[in-house]
Amino acid sequence: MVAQNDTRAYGELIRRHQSQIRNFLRKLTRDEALADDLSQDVFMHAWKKIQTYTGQGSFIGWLLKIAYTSFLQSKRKSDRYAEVLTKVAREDIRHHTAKEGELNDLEKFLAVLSEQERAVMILSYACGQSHREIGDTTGLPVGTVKSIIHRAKDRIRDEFDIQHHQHG
Amino acid sequence: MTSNIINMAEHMRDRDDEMLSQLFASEPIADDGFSDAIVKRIRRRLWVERLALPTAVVVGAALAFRPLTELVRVFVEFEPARRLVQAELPIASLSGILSGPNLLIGGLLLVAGIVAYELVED
Repeated sequence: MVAQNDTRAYGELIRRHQSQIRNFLRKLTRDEALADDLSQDVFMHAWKKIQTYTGQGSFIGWLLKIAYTSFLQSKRKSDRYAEVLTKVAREDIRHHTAKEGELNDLEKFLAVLSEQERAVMILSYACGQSHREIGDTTGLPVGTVKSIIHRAKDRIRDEFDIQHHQHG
Repeated sequence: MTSNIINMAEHMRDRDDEMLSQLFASEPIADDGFSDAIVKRIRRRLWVERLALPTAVVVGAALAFRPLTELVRVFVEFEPARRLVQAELPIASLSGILSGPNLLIGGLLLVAGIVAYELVED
């Protein structure tokens, strides 16, 4: 796909996929600067490992997998992420009514989800990945992905008192 | 067949799904030099990788030059070794070959060879 050391072609690939990767990481970390730093690391790592991409599955799926792994690794290592978490906890999205008006609906929804649920929901609804692709990205079995989505939807419905609507 | 049924089931979306899709949708993020910055970083790294080996050889040779010449001198002056070598090669010519300038030229040729090989390989 990209010949070894063909940086121009790789630049084109970055241009094509940067938005999705940055969007995914921004929603996951809820910190734009951290997400963009991580996105840079993702593309640097992908460059190093480009020869291991076999062409099975989409390229964006492969990048999202690297992005998710980078996110998990950075979370373990970085004090900065801990600071963000502390800040988010301090602001307590659901219970600080003063802040509530300033937060958009997505942030409120994401706040009630666990980290794993958040990742799966973002991959499903923001990145448009299928359950199988989400399984590949997160390393979870497809059945677990389905149940996480189901559970997350229930939690959102309960927390925000949304009526359950089903087609048909 | 089974996977088709699974895919169909996956695509049967309810109103919650539609609502969530709308909620999670976001405007594309403008590149604004993001990809150029990464490409520059990659090119810089490639140069560093290319120069790392030759630089290490030059630095290593510079550091090892003096101890090596000392070692060679001690070996040349070592009596049993001198006798052994004299049987095959006149000691004068051996010490001539192993003299400082020759070692330096040899080292530089080695470095030039490595750099040329790297360039040809690229």
